Amino acid sequence: MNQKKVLVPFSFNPGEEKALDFAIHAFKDLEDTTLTLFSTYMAVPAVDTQSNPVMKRMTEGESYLASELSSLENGLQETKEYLVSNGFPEDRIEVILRERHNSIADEIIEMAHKGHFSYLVLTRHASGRPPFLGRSVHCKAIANLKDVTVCVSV
Amino acid sequence: MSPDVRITIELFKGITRAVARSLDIETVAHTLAQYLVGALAIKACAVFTLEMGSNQLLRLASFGLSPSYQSKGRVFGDKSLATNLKGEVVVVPDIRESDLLQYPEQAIKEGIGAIVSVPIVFSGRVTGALRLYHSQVWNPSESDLDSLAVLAEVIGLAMAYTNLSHSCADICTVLSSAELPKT
Repeated sequence: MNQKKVLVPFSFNPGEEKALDFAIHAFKDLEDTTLTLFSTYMAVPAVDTQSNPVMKRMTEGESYLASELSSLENGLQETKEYLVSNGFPEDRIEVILRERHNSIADEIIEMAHKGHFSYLVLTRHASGRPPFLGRSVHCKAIANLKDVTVCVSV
Repeated sequence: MSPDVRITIELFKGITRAVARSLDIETVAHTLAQYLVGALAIKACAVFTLEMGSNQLLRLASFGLSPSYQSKGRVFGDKSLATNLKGEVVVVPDIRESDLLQYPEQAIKEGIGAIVSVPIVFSGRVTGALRLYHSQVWNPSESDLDSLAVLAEVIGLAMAYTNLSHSCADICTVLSSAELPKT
């Protein structure tokens, strides 16, 4: 059986539930399809506390990050429950939360490429980046991904 | 008694240096949000960009806000702390006594006590907002508000640079694919 993989990036932006609803509607009954909820976070930036003693306060930022990560994990779990409660089988859902090193668009493209995904489901404002700040995530994904069907909910 | 000055010149230098070393606009915004939350000991910080036409505020980066609050609904510049659109800083020291919020109930449920919203302005045009959220009633000092306005201008500059950089890249792409007449 040829397994199909669906990548659904999620950043908790308003309107992203449309991507979830589309994924549920399009893929829940396809038994050879798995869905990956994908989210990223940024680590607390490195702080030069020697040249700037006041910034020592920021070393406490790691505890903030732990709290932020926990909040993100809970949010993704709730999102997974939303998928399950709307009929998507739990055993076909995977959740990935990882540290971000590049732009959101680049992280999504890398994940879609390296993870050998067949479908990428996005919303128009997947990154909170308006047109004047460059190409949107979906434009960049369409331009850079081969053999991946990109679905954009508007 | 006047409010404390929390943004000292040392802190300001540290934040500006870290922001300047960031590689892209999203990292700039995330770095600023994380630094301000840690350094000011506030609940959360978010950087929004303003989508022209729809007046929607799009979350470019945030730190400290729960996923459910972030996804509460679309935020519009003319409904949420609207005088930001005129380039004015909006301070809501106690959100329970304000009618300026678009989602007041969700803000209370999130545990937000006060919000400060600083417009991000570049070349006289509002391009976004820098918002700080405190879990308690909060009235920042005039000096801190002025410092935040300068940091918002730094973000505005970074946005302008990103805009210019992407425009140049797009022009290069078009020119390199076009068949130009030989001179």
